[in-house]
Amino acid sequence: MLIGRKNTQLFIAALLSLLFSGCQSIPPDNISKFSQGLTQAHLQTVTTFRYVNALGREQSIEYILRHNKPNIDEADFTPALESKDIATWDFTFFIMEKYTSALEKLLSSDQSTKFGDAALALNTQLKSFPATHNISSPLTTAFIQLGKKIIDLKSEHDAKIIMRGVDADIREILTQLATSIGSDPDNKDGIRGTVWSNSTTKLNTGPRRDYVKAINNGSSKDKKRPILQSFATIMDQRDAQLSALSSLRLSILGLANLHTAIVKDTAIDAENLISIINYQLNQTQLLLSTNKTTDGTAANSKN
Amino acid sequence: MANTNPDLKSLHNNLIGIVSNLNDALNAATDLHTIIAIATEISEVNHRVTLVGNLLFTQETQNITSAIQKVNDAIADIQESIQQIQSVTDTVNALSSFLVLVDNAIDIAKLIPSA
Repeated sequence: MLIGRKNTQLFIAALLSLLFSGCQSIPPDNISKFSQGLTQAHLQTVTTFRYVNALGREQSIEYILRHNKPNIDEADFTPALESKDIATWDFTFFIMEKYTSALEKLLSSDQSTKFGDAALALNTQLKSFPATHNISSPLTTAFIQLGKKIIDLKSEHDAKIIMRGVDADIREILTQLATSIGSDPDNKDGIRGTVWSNSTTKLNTGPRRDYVKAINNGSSKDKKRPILQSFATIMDQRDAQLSALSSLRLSILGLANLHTAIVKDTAIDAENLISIINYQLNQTQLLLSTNKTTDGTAANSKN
Repeated sequence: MANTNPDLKSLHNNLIGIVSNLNDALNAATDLHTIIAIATEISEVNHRVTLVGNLLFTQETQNITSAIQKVNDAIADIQESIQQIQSVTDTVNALSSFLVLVDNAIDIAKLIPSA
């Protein structure tokens, strides 16, 4: 009898443990790591695109000057990435951050908080954004598909089941954004291609042309030296921007891998991936801050 | 895997390829007139590279596909003209005609309504 009562108590204890462990199927620390990775990748995106767009606008100004346009409007100042594209990136991070926040609430001790309300809000936002922005069909499909999956999982209390259910969709969206950066080792596609082209134009219409002019005019070494220095500076800026974009691509793909690693319980991978994203952010900030100070020198070297 | 608008992505890549070929042609040039002419053309093509780069997330439509097909039909000739520059003036003229086709495709892509 005593043994029977003890077994019953053990059984109830085991059952309660099982019930609660169902709600804690993913260590909250792993969600925090994903959230941290999102924040870092978002910051890296903002930093990188600011520099990339500065180069694009600089070339727009040169283009307007070359054509001696009688009037100008906003459309003449073409950045490498227009505001609607940056909005797509920002929206993706916004959604990912809301989704992560909902998971964190689900894993918190406050059991009254459900995933359902957050799921409804996320789905509304995922449907409305493509309807108000002119974005590609595949990305629209990916956003809507993610919204549907989230709605299907709105009554779910297990964060792991939710994450597993949307993992493919999260990967699809992040992979599409990473692909838009460009993966060609020679930097001839995607945003990297635009940066390479803008930099090549800056080199050729600036210091290269000036150098040949100086040679034709029989200019002294002292006159040619700053032209050559300007050429080298633009090369450094180009390499820094291309490296930053390459690094951003790795961070975005790292985020996708981090989400999957959490779903698959590969905790060591999660730890490594967050370190890689952190490293990419630090490298980007270092590269771009080192090269921004020389920008004015390069621009002023033109005649 | 699904990705950005495939027609505009292809146009973007082709335009970058033309900038690359013009850059190679510039490496071989020695006289100032040729260098200035080619550098100016690089600037013209680069302007379109940036414009198309901003349209990569645009929805696919038949009108865009048709307009870019006309550009693709002219690509081989323009690349040959750049790689075997015999007269800079002829190459510049060929590029000007080619860029009219590109601008037409860009104008169509810009007009695609929101999803």
